[in-house]
Amino acid sequence: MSELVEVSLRSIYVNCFATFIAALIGVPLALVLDVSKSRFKNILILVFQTLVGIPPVLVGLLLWLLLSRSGPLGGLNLLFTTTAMIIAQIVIALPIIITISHSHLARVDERIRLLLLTLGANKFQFMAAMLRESLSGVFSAILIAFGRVAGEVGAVMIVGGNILGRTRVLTTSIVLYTNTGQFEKAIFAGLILLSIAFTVNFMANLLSRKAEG
Amino acid sequence: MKKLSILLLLLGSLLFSRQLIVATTTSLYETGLLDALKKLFEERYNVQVVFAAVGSGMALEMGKRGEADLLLVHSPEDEEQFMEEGFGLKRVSFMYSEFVLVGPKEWQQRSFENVLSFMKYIYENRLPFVSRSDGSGTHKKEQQLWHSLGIVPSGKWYHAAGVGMSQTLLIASELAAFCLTDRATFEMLKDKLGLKICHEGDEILKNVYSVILVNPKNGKRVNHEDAEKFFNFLLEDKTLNFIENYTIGGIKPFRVFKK
Repeated sequence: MSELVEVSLRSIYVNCFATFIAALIGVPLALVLDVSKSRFKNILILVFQTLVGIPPVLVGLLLWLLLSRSGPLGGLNLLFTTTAMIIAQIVIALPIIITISHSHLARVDERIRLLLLTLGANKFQFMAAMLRESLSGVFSAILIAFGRVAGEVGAVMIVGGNILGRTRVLTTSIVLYTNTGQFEKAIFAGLILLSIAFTVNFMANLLSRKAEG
Repeated sequence: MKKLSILLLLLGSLLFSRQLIVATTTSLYETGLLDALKKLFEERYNVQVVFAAVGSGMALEMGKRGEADLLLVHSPEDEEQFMEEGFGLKRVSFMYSEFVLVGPKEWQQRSFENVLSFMKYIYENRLPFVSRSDGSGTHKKEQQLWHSLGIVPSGKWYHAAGVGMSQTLLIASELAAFCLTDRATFEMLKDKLGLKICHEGDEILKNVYSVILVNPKNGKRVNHEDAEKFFNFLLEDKTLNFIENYTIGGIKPFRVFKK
């Protein structure tokens, strides 16, 4: 039982931390994309949109190649650590956060933009105002990303290795329990995973109500 | 993930055609021997053989539930219990391969009398060791070895991976650790690993495979008739010779028990 508690806590830590970092990088990037006038803007958006559908196992494989001993970053000794799992989940979450946040930003009324500009807002103030305008959309982008990484197993299995007490999380233990025919335990771990997702979404809903109210 | 999809395929296939479902261990399936046998079998009989490559634990569980018609497993103690509980009709140990203890390439060869004293040395010096920890036959063998030493392995040096044999070896290679593996999987991956065989050849390291005919009482859809065909086919001299001469990467990993 204590094993499941420990595994659950690791799951929460890895998923939340990865989503948090991805949001920290992704939301500002979406804002910059929104205000930029660059020719590459549309190409970049297309690239991120494509990456939304990247198979997590592919992310796992690429990271494996990067981080394994023979790989370019082999010296960091990151393979089979939670850090590697977090990196993998950031890579999976980032395109989702950028793409969905940007689509909400792009939908902000043109008149608000004009108003901000005529009021003499500088770039930074302009971005802050835009973020406020589409806060609920950005919020849902982060939640969708969280849902995606929380339910993901392919990448963390490859770069984490499912090591007991080190890199085993709920999704990888479900695979292990299923493969060893321990269906009750597998179902139980699945229920814990669902309740974590429920709690996170519930709290997020409360927060967003507060923010709007 | 792969195994989950196999399960789904199995569930789907149950609804459509008469198939023979053989639950087997991942390590055995990965050698490619089974696909070669399947070819031979299907030339003679009009039966579709489907292999579900899962851990020994899961394979036995599938047998109990009647999800599989035939089992190819290597976990003798569990198998005996399976038979005692009446889940199987017949069980024959028909072939064996070897377990070997592999370790980092840099390891200065010291000779140990037997694998147990080697493992004791690993334990006493807290040398890194990676275990499959997935309830597979290989994992059971490793547990048996620790158990007979009176050691309960745990601590920073002991990595309980919970993945299949190939990935366990990759982890061991990354961590420059020791690991108990079946010879066939190691030989297949050898070139990709920074590992070498450090100890081999003990009687205790024999890896015995058995075929078990699932009791049709275990489930409504057990395909007993075709399972019996495969069971008998497997134990023919011709098939046993084929197994004995099966070669991967220049070595013949399997020996059969001569009648």
